[in-house]
Amino acid sequence: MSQTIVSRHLAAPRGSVPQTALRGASPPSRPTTPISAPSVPAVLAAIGGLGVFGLSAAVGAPSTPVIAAISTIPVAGLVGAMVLTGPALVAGHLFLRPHVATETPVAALGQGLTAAGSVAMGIAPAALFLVATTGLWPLVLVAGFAAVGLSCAAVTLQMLRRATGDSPAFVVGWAALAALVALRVAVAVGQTAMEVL
Amino acid sequence: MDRKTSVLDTCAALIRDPVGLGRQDARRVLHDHGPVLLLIAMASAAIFGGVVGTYRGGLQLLYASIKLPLLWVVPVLVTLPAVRAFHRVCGIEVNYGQVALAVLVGCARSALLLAVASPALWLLFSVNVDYHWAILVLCGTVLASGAVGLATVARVLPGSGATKVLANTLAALAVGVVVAQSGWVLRPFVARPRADVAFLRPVESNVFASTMASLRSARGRYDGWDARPEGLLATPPALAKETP
Repeated sequence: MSQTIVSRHLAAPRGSVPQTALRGASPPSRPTTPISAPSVPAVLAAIGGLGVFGLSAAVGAPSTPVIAAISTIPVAGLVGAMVLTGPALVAGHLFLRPHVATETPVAALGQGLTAAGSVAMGIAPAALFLVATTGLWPLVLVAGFAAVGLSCAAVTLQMLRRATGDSPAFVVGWAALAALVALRVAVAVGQTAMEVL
Repeated sequence: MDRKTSVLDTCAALIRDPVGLGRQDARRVLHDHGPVLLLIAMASAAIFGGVVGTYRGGLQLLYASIKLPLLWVVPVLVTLPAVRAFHRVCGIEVNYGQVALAVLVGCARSALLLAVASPALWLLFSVNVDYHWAILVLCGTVLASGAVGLATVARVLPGSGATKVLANTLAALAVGVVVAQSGWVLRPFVARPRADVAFLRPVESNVFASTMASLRSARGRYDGWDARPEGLLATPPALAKETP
């Protein structure tokens, strides 16, 4: 299925694409590679990895309700940002990149999420070690969340670039928007935790 | 196979061609050389620890011999998943076997270099060098051998170009932070000659705060550092007072 994601649309007759969408369109500047969406277990494992990292960092917090609230920051921030900004990415591609399949941005987002989950799972032991031996759990949480978010953005952009053959400015703009939304969601969850405290 | 020859052969491979050793089939090399590599790493670090312990002498000699190998092994175990994750996210496909072998080779090679540096360090410590200089020399030696170990890991793991540089930079950062904090938790290695000997000090503050305080002290400001118990493993102040 994934093999045809890009090639199907490249082979589509020009007339089948709305003229409004063609105004901003340009052919890919380099060869494209089809990307496949990750499986559901892979996505669930990624969310689990984000949860494990969140718990590893939050376990240094002063009370159990705060730990519970803080540990959801990575999942809420990243998944929340994807849910809120994903439609914008898909719509942007549909409008500006008519040669790109509808599934491509979704698949790229999925790949970004799985990469973020594997990084989160990887840094969780180090985070737990630092939280167990220092009082720097907020710093560990922020630094780890930043690393996870950057990994997600980098892989998503790289996948989109592979699939579309170029990296339009709106994708970079979307990444910045997603980062701001993720930060806002994380701050909101953090504020809730502070109110609990 | 003769055990003695095997250890010497592995030492020779570590010094002459660590990349050749690490680039072979990971599962087979780990099966054939894994225990020997671990033995080399632990024994070399223990020798170096013993030499570090001579600064204070007595029981500290034993304590440092036990703690130095831990300083080499604990951070590796803690950061192994992170090293693999950073490589995979940079598009370099590596499995746990490859990462474990690369890290083990790097660890053994750097520990071997510590053992090589031990006689020079012992000579320096034997002439009653100043305590702060002893700490600085120890840190410099550990940093230099650690850098060699990380470079070995980077060379052994696959990949090329900017993504490999990025993956190894991130991995080195993670390993560096955990090694630094491990060193702080496992201190003292060089105890003052008149200080009480202790296997471990209470878990308090962290290596980063200590470094900042040292930098302030170097500029003549001797305030602003409060070594309070921190972290999950720290003893609560009330209990700490009750402990004789």
